[in-house]
Amino acid sequence: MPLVIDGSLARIEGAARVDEAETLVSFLETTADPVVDLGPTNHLHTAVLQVLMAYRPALATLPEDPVLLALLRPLLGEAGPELNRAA
Amino acid sequence: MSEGGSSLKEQFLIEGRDLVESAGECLLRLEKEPDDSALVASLFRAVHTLKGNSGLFPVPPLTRVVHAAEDVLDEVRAGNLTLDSEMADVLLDALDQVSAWLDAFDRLDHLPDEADEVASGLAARLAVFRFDADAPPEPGDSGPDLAADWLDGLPAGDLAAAETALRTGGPVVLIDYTPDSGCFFRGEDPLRFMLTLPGRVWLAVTATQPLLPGPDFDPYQAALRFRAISTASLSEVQTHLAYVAAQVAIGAQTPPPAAPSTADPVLRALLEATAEALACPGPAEAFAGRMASTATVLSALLPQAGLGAEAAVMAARDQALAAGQATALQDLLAAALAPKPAPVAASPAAADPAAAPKAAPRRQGVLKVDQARIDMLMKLAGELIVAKNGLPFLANRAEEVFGSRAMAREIRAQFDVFNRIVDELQTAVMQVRMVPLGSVFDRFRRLVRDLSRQVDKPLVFVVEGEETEADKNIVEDLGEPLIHLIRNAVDHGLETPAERRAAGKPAEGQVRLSARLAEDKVVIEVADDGRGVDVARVRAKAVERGLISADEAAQMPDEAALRLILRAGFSTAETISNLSGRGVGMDVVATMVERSGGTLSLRSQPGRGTTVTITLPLSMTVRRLMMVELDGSQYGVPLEMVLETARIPQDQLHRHLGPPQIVRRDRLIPLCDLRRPLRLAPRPQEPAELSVLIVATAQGEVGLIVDAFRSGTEVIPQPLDGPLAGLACLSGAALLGDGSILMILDLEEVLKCPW
Repeated sequence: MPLVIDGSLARIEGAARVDEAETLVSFLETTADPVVDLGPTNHLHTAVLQVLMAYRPALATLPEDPVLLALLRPLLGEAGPELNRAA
Repeated sequence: MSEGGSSLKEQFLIEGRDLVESAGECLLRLEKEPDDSALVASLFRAVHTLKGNSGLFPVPPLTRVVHAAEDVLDEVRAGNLTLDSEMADVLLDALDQVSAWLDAFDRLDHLPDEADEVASGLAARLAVFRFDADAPPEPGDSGPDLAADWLDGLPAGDLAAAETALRTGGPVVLIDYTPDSGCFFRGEDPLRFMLTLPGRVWLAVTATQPLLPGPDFDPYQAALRFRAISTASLSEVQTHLAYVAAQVAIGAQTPPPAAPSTADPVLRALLEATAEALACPGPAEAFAGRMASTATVLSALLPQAGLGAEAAVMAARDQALAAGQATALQDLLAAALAPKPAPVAASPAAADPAAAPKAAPRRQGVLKVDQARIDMLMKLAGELIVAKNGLPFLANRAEEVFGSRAMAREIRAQFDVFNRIVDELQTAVMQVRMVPLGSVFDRFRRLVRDLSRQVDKPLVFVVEGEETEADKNIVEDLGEPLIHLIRNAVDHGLETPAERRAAGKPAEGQVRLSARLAEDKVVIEVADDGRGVDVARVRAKAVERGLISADEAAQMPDEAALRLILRAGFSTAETISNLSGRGVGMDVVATMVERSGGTLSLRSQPGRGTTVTITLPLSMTVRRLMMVELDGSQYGVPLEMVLETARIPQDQLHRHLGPPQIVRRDRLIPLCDLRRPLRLAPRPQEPAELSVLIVATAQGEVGLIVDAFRSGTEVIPQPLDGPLAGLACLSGAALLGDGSILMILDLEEVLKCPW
């Protein structure tokens, strides 16, 4: 599973598949102060992207993948302060 | 509020149709006078206004097509393109499509499903002209228009990035991809499609609806929209997105070559030349002079372009002179030449000053009124006429029943007053309904142009008397018969250019459509200068078809023989049209004209051409009838058909074969006892003198034997409905002043019954 949940931190490793969206939603719904780590992510399925856009969770790290980074920065960039806090 | 919305829509539709029509006219005229810049301007204005208006309604494909047309016309207006017939063809097609969409939108409140596809096709066909143009696209100051709409609703950061991507130079492909909400269930990953897009230089993701976290959030309902710019070729992009083609809109665009800072290419060229001159090394002693002259040029140019004030130029000059270096002036120039952040989302209406006065000329005392209201007014005026006509009956009763002659006189005097006022009222209402025939004639320019190209017969289409006015319904009813007549004239009446030359005529044929007023009638003629009708051929064909006997054919005068082509059954199958020139559905045309209360006549000269004349009443709402009595009832005969009334002694009847005949002015006229075709009881005894109403029909003059003549009258005919609707012999009924009902005879139909 590319989605690894560890307490209040969810890390997406590699490419997030479509069914990860549901898991991610339940994680974000049920966890207090959830943080998502996109560092090791190299692709997000559109459904997962939608979840992130809807919930705008705090991000531990932005993706290292330059293509994904360029895409996500304007979309999720507002999560900046949380980024620092989580780090 | 909803009413406001619907009336806005109505207004859009009315105005839209007007604009399409006027654009079409401009186009056709432009084809003849391509240099008329006023025409180009009004064409552009029409299309531009249409585009602006359409933006208010959910008709994006329509907007897209009009937009594409506007882009092409803009180039034409700027002089980068010349309007040729090929371009006119495509533009006319686009207008036709828009017109069809307006109708569809009127009916359905939305456009047909395939509209998107059709729009793309048309837009692409239109775009070809712009890309083919040798001249670079005009560097518009509002940025590329297509992108302006396309980028709506993006955050500023994305807009700027898109702008930069668009300005990279070279053609780009614009992609607008809105995955449908169920796409995830088909295993689609739209983001992957976009990330792997060939040549992707820019990508923006937005939500199509607010994405709200919470229990109601469904991650499997796609609600995103992707917009991207690619530098790959159109076909590459199309191949890549073929799988989701239905959800994607793709547009190709050639952006302005460089980022222009000024709207005027001349200004830009001047600035560039100045910069170049400034960069050239020159002798030190000339430095001050060069700086001064550069500053002079700049101080003239920059304020003009709105890029800087004279004072700034002078300050830069002083600075340059002081420093001994041209840097300050060069900076100023560089700033002027640098790409200015284009106002991408500028509203198109604001960007074009031509749009500003668009509604102004319409306000000059012209009122657009729903036709139903005018019809109501007309109906009331009509009823007033009927009520007014009741007064003479009342006067008679006063005199005969109550024996008061003085009272009768007073009523008659009052009737005269009423008469005058009602007459004026009727005229006034009729005036309101009058429209110039030009409104219908203008449509035919297009028809003739298309036909002429289709059958490859170059021709001059002359239209005369467009300003002649007639009742709106009459004018509208005219459209179809005229289309047939004009088509006949072009297709069959005119010879091929080769034949014409051989006959010593100019290769270009002529079709003339004219209208004029004759008393209370409109006379419309469709004339060609073609080969004329071959009357011998018509006779032969009529005999062959069993319409007349060979003897009849031989005796028939040419004029009557010519009328044979108006008979039903004359032109059913392949007809003589290809040989003699006429005959395609002429009976249909004649019927249509007669239904509107008009008559149709033919004139033809071999080798000189054919003229078809349609005579119509100015207004058909009020009909003038001659009343006759038959078997104790009153019937109305259209007054325009009546030639004369006569009392014929029995001994003047010629009884040979067939019906009895009379001689009037050396002509034999067959007599028809009107009781027979109407299947009324035969006359109890033959009167010594017959009352004969001589009428002109399609078959020639016929004498109708009636019981007695009554006065002429004006009535408002009502169509028959219910079980009576099927009676072909009656064209309608009308209420008379005394409350009785008058049946109006359709004589052409009556005479088709055996008599």
